[in-house]
Amino acid sequence: MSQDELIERYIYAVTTHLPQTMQKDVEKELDSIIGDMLQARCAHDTPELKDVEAVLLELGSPALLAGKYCGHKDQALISGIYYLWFKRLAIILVPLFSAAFAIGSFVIELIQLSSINQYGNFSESLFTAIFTAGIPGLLNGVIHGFFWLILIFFVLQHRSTAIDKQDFLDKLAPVPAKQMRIKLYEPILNIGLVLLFAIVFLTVPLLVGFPADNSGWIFAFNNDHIRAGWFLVLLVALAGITKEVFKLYKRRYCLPVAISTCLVNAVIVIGMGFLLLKPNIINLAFGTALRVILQNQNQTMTTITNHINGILFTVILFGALLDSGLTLYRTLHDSHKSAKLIPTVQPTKTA
Amino acid sequence: MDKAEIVSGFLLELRRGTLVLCVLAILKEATYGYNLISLLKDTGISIEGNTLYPLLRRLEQQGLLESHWNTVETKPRKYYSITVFGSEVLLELKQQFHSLSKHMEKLLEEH
Repeated sequence: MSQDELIERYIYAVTTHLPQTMQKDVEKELDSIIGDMLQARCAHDTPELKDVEAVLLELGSPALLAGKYCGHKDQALISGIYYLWFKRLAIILVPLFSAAFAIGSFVIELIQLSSINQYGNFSESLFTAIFTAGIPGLLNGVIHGFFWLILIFFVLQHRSTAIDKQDFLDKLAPVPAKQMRIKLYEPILNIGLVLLFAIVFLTVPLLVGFPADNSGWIFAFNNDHIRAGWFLVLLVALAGITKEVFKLYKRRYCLPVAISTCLVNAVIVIGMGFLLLKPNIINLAFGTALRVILQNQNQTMTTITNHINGILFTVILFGALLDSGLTLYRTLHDSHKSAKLIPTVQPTKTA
Repeated sequence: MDKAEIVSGFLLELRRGTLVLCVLAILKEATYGYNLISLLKDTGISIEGNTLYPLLRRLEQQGLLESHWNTVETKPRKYYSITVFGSEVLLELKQQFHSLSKHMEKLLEEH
């Protein structure tokens, strides 16, 4: 590896997790600082690889330096780079948690109130459900969201102090080409969607459906069948979140990301297959109501609406194949490009 | 935990507390990060780069320092200098520090 490449890798490792507004300036500043340190160390000689290594060791591990740029404090519950990530995730996940809890509690309460008070005033039930379940659900979601995030980041921050602070030079990954970098919002958005899926299917699967003129809310799935498959929903959600968290950690398309994506997608397809391809998983009334809405009663439409679960599964299978294929393509494309970029003459590494 | 470790821990805390004062005092004249380390070293205060650079950025965010990139020289460098607000804070800190050190000296002489 050349001196310049090692410096580039180090700077990229420091700046990659910093806020975008800081990245360019810190990148420029670090480049200038490393240059000054090398100049002071080597005077008029050309710096060798060992000099660059010594300077980078003096600056410390990229994770620690990035943490200091973000105001890391050892004694704090969550600080530095972990606080930055905490904020980024909390902005998306806490409202999502709170909305899911609020809607879930509200719908369950509304269904219960409607069944008790069948001939009563619907708007009265609606207001009662909002105040007795919706608003408490909203607060409950905020508390749950913050609690789990704080717990996860607290463990992450205090576990990382055990990492060897001097053993980072050999682990510095090459700087990926721009199109090979995983954009920050992608995994965060996907985690949000997976959580939404898990919360809806584990708490109120009845939410999936649509209102029909005469029959009220038409559920897409048979509630009991979905509830019986709760462990499959949990498995799919955990697999999906693991995949996205790993992407967040790596922030680049590489072989481990490609392998984990393929494996997790296989788990998702199998899990969803067992869940969706169960007989009677779809509410028969849902297909009938759909045909009424579409005003189409012919044989083809009947076949389609009777096999919605199969169609849904095919869409998931296609999505998983596409995701795996694209990730593999990007990874192979990246390694091919990197292979071209690596210089053929390697400088001698001195002790 | 042995004596040396305990002393080193307390010294670190003492130095950490006075570091901002040192940096603000030296930056009455604009200079770049690495030179600041040398200037501090000349006065007997050693500071590591990975502590100083993030500190400079934090002080800049608080409005105590300002910076500009000097691209006139062959190598672009970021120069930091104290702001008017920073000078006011420095003056206050200096007064507090002198008063504290006077009391400390008196206390340590007496005991």
